[in-house]
Amino acid sequence: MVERGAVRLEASAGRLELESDAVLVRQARDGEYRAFELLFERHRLLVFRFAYQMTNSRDDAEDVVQEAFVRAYQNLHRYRDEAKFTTWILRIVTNLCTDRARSGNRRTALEQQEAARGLDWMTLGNPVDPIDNLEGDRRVDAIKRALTALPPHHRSVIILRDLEGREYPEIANVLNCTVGGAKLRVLRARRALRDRVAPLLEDLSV
Amino acid sequence: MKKKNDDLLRLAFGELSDADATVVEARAAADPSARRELQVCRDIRASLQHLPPPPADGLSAERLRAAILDRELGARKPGFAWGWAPMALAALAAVVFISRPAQRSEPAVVAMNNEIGENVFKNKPLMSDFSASTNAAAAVTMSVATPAVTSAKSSARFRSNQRGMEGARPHTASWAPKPFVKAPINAPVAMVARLDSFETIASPQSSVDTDALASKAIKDGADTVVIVSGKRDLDTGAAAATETEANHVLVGG
Repeated sequence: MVERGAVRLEASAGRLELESDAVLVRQARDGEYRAFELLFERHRLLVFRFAYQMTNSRDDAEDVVQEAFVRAYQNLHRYRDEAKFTTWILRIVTNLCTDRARSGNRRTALEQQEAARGLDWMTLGNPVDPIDNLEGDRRVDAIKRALTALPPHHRSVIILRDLEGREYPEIANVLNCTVGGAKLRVLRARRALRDRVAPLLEDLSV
Repeated sequence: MKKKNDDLLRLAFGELSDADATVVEARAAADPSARRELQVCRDIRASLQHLPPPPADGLSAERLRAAILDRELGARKPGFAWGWAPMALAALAAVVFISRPAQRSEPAVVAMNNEIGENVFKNKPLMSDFSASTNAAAAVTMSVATPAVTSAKSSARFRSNQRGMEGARPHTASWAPKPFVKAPINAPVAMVARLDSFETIASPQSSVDTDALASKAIKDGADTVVIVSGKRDLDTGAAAATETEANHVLVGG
């Protein structure tokens, strides 16, 4: 009973959030810039996290997020009220990241990746068991490298599904495809990731 | 083989139904390579869950606002869109056409010679004939070419430096030719215009007390009074006018 009530409450909160976003979008569309700022404040972390996983660079991710919100603001009139704002903004980010990857603008990504790897080595992990940490770090590092090496259309769906935990209908909306299509894309992306990462993991286990 | 691996992937990522999961797990248990493959897939999933979190972002609402402003202004920066030039010209022409002086709103202006001026000014209240006019006004300076100069016909020129509220400007046809033709060569020019916010008076040089007229005009609601006095140009014989300004009353011609 309590659980059902909690679910109902959660669903109601979700609806409220959706309505609230829609209201903010409408207000922003009517020229209330503060409403758009609220949307930015509300969703910027989610969007930045996604962009960071896509670009693997803080600077690039910031640029992408900012550009995404600028474009969102400029295209508020195109926003359909029935869509979730997060879905819409994530779609913009996905497109931006794909465009960026296509244009080969990844100048500092590798440098930052290297720096982050060194930092991770020093700061992450369980200090109790350094051997386990070492192996775990290497595995994570291998996954990270493999993920970064994936083409953006594969990377984006893995991030959405396996890192962000988005449901397939939402992924479908972000990708502008059917739910079945989204499932298929996720499967293909995982397959591609597996093909890249398996040799690295096997090396680790030897 | 591919289908088998896909099932293992789905199983590792928890996307098989319970029934399907049981079948695939049983198959993997019996097949060492499938078991290894399943373990790889599970490792991938676990590692994805343990990717380091992103660093703190340096985003801010102020930065975003600046970026939006830059973009909005930038969008207006690119040079003139020449493709729109014909439409812009057409629009400009339309505006000019629409705002051109309307014939029906010509200010009521009369011009008269000394005798008529005296008669009007002395026998009638100033501007009584024109008080009903609702036309807007324009400051007018004028010079007159009398028959002595142009011999064949009289003409009048005027220059307007103030557009009326309805874009009206004095029209020569309403006041210039007829009275001037009748006037003597050296006749002083008299002009009266009664308008909503502006009045123009041209008086005979000596026969009318211009100061009194100006005061009366202002008392009756005129913002500005122009008094035009004719003078004969000694070289050409044409009537010319001089213009002076006293207080807020413009006296001139």
